[in-house]
Amino acid sequence: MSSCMVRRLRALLWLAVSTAPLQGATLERLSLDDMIDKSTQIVRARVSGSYSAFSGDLIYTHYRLQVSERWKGPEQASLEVLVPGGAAAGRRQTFSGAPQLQTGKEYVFFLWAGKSGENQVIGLTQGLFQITAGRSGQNAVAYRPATMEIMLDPQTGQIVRDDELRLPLATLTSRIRTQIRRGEAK
Amino acid sequence: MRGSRIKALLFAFLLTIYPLRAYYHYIQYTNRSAPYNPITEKFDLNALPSKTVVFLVSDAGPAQFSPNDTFVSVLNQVRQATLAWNRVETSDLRVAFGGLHTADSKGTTPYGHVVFQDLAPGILGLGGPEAVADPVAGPNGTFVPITRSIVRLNVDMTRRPAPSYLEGFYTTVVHEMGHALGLQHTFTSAAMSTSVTRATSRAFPLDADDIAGISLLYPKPSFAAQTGSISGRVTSDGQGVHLASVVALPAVGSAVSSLTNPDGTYRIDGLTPGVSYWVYVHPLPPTANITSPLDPAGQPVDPSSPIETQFLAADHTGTKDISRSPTVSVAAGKVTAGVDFAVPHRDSVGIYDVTSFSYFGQNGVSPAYLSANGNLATIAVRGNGLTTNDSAPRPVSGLRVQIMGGFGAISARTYGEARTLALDLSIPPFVSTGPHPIVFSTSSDLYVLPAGIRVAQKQPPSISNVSPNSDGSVTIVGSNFSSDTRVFFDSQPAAIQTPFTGNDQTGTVIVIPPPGANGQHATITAFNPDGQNSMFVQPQSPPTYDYGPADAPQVIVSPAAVPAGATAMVDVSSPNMRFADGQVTIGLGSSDVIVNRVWVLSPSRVIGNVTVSGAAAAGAVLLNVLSGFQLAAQPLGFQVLPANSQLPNIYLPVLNATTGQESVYAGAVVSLFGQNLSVAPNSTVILLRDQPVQILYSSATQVNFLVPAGTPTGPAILKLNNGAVDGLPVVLQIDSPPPPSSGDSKKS
Repeated sequence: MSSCMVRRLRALLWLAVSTAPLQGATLERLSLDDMIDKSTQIVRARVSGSYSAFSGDLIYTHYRLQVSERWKGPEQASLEVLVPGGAAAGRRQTFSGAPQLQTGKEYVFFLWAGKSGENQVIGLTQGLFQITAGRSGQNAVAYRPATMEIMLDPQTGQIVRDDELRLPLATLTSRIRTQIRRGEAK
Repeated sequence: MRGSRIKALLFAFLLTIYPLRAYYHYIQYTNRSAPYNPITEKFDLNALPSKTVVFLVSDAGPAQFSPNDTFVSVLNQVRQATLAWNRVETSDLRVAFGGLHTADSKGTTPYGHVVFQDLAPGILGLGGPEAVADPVAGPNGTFVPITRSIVRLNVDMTRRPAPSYLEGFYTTVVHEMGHALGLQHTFTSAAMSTSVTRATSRAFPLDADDIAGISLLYPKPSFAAQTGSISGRVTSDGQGVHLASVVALPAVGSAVSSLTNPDGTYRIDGLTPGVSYWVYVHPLPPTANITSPLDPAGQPVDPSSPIETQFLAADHTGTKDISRSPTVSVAAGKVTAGVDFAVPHRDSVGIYDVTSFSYFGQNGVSPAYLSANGNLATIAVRGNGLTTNDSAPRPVSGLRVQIMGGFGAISARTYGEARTLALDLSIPPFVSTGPHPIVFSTSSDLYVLPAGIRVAQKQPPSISNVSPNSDGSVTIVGSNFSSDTRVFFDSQPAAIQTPFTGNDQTGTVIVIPPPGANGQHATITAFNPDGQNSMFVQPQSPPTYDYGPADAPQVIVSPAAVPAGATAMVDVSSPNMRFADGQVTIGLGSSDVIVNRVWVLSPSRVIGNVTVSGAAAAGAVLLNVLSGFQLAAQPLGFQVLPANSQLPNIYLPVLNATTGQESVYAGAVVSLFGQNLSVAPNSTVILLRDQPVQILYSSATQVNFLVPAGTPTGPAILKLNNGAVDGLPVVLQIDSPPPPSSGDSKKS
């Protein structure tokens, strides 16, 4: 591989990790089990498209998802997830820290629907794992970069670091199923 | 040879046309390739009354609170945050708190909007600007106007960073407000820094980097004149490095930084003249999350791949050894150019996201604080790349830790937690107080934490007793107080009645609590000017103060209606509120109707100037008056009337005709600007404090008059008749005259 190609690859990798989430939020650290418990839906899905629109005073980018696997929530082949920010009606709203999903990419989504019933990603980027490698589910890896948003410990209020999470998709799936069973047993 | 010359000429040409400043603003480019033309998203000062952006808080406040927390305390923290940004003197943007806002009272004037929403779990707050999609040309260049900025907080205030009386809630609002004003994150321990490096507090809500960032976006002429700049270019293998962070770092003090343009050029502004800075470049960490500049299609412009972190070297190749790095001096109004870096790429970023902690009992505080009077100390540092990645994390091989500003050798040892180390250090005699950088290095890596520690003269303050007195004051007893200690009741500072007496072991200060609400239990916190507060040592059981029962606050406002496009004095009185100087906000529920300034005339009466935008829609708005923790709200309490084209109308601010400044005083000539100020030559009559003044010049749009000698300082009501119609009175602040200059003395 030529040095030029290596550099391009590095640049692409760098771009992938450095521009995925924007920033400017204050977050509460959630463990994986927290996210499983607090999610209203957990799905594996591919982004099939997006559009932005006002909802009240706020612009959301609506990502359309094709669901391939579901661990929590009602059966649906497709759904929409709303991410704060976007451009609509001649206006652009930037909510730093909001994730930018890529059409065609596959993710595991930990989703939460509030009173409005609209799906949002838990913890802004915490509940979003990109499936990065592997042709089958067995080899696939779920990866979530750490965020540099201001993140507080829910108990102490102290600023804490986020940690990246990288684990085989099968392991993540197992953790999700186990924790859901624990929740149901309570 | 010829090719090299052409390249050099081409580069020189690019440098002359490149906008070299690339602070951490929201940037759009108007073209897709070099030379790029970055334009920023920012408020249009010409669209703001008195260049003031008002932050309005949704009246649909939080739904849940922690014990002893209230909506009014939240409002006051937002108010305090606006004051922090408003104090930046080198910024031309003024920032004000506008009180409550109803969902149905949208104004046409750009503003900041604080809303409480049902945020998904794990999200505590969000902030950012709303801008028009397309750039516009302004008198100072092309920019993208921010039409509204939004700070979204959680409707559930039982979750962190609440309760609102905590310092962390305040610094969070300051941070989110910074985004709303047009700033992105930095990596310098400033308010806009990312979580792991931020080192601000109530005592230091903004740092030099924040001040540079906001001043660069909304510059006053004094900003460039009073500060210095460093510029240069960062390259790797001869190519410009895009979105590298270049930091100017003093040995003791605050860092200032900038990001590189796509061609690697950069410029750091807002540096203190006479200070010598180390300059280093570092890649954005993998978790940086900087919003990349956008191309004309709204797509991100790629950052370059990671580079080595390097201090400036004499030969511009960079060095990891700070002792070999020359410092760079700056001069006021000057740019020190040619501070270039040629640094190698690397596969990944090694050490990053480091946080320092000191412990007071079980309570960890970040950044680490050290006592200047101490001898030996231990702090903890946590971050990626510092330790071995095993079950017993040890310092990585060859790790060297330095604290700048006279600290000697530092020993790093295992702490027993992942990615965490204990640092044993000795505090040098006569160490400078303030922030000190920590530098971590190995043979292959370098990381700088700009405000890694703060050195303070005292230990944190602690409150041992709170005693209400019969005159309404409260005696606060504690340790490590000073004459500059501020005592807060929830989110509001108390006025000092009797200054501090005592010593570090035990001291007393007597304060007047802010006006309180019915049954309020206020949490009391003492803040020292070194950044420490009493929550450091008593976070679990802070002292409280009970206000007791009180009637619902009521107000009467006159006039209760003002035409669109007009400025007028409003007079607010209350039978049961206590108006305290510096703690009163008159809110009128819309960005189109703002109160420029208020004067407390008595505990039951306050006056202010209200300005109604010419574009304001006629109708009723929410009148809300806040004093301390007392809030009176009348949903339809103030009316915007249709514009009156015949009405004499004075524009604010009123200016001193001699100095061009806003300070006017007895004997000064004052210029009023406005509409319909005169209908005929010599027709205008002005009364100041009900006394006629000498008119020196009058036209429909300008009147100059002499403030009578002997006019007392303070608010003075000004009434103008243009020869046909009475205008609405306005309030004029009369200041003390400036002391005579030495030149004046000689003349006399």
